[in-house]
Amino acid sequence: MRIELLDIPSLPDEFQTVHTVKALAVEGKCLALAALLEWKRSSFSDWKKLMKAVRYVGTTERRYIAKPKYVKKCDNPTYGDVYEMRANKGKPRLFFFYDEIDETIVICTNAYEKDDSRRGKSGGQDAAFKLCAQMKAIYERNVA
Amino acid sequence: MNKEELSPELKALLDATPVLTESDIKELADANRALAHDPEFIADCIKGDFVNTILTEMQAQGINKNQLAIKWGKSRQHISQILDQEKSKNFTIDTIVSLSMALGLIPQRIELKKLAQNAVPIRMKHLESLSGWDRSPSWCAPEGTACQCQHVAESRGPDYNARSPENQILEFAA
Repeated sequence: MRIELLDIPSLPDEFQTVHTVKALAVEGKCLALAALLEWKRSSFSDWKKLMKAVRYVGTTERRYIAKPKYVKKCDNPTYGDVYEMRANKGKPRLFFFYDEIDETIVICTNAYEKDDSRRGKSGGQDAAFKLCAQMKAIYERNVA
Repeated sequence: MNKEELSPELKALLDATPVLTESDIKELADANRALAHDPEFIADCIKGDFVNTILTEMQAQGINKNQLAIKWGKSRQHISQILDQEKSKNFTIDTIVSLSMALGLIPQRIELKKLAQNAVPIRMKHLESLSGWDRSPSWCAPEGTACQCQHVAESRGPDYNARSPENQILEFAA
């Protein structure tokens, strides 16, 4: 299996003063970058809101990550330390985890678009956290 | 690892995801570069950093919006407006300074950097002492320059925080 860490293309250095933000690609496919591109094309204002969260994560030490509007840590303990970046009052969500070995790296895995319906909201988000946890495990197995 | 270890959901998602082309990457790169030159975006980020510093400090001091409102001499609604970035108006430097001081913080300066370099808009220090200084690195100076945050203080030796605030400040001045 081919696992790669990709740069977020031309993400400004000033957005990554603490963590370098990367995207995980599996078998040449990168869910996070594909979603960013799709949001950039389809809902530019939401994409900009999400990029504020990306900047926040890139410029904030992990122990200070506590801004519910931008970042939420998964509250399901079975999925471990996985997080979502949120477009405040927008739909895009980008899931990520911190590299436990190289603490300067944040790795985006997958994306999710918030569904306004009650059922979609909880189920979709949980599934996306689960997927993020799976991709984190794949990454860690390959890095180890 | 083989492909069988992928869950069906992940497999399905990967199958449905297109491989990004060079032009896709370039499109995303151009958009990201443009963000760093977008005044509205940068202003929102700086406001967000300020709000986050205030929220973190409120949490550290264990005070809520009501208590802060009393300390600051403003209404709770006014504080909510400032701390809710989506609703907040473009608050003034006077507001930044007075709200910070209500929490025992003082903004030090607004720093301007060349666009390509790291932007460090505002730094703050505690009014009483630097020993409790523990800010997000987003407020810190670029590597190799003077900075008044805890993790740089740690690199200055274990006894650094035991010194009087005056001596700490003198060291920065030196």
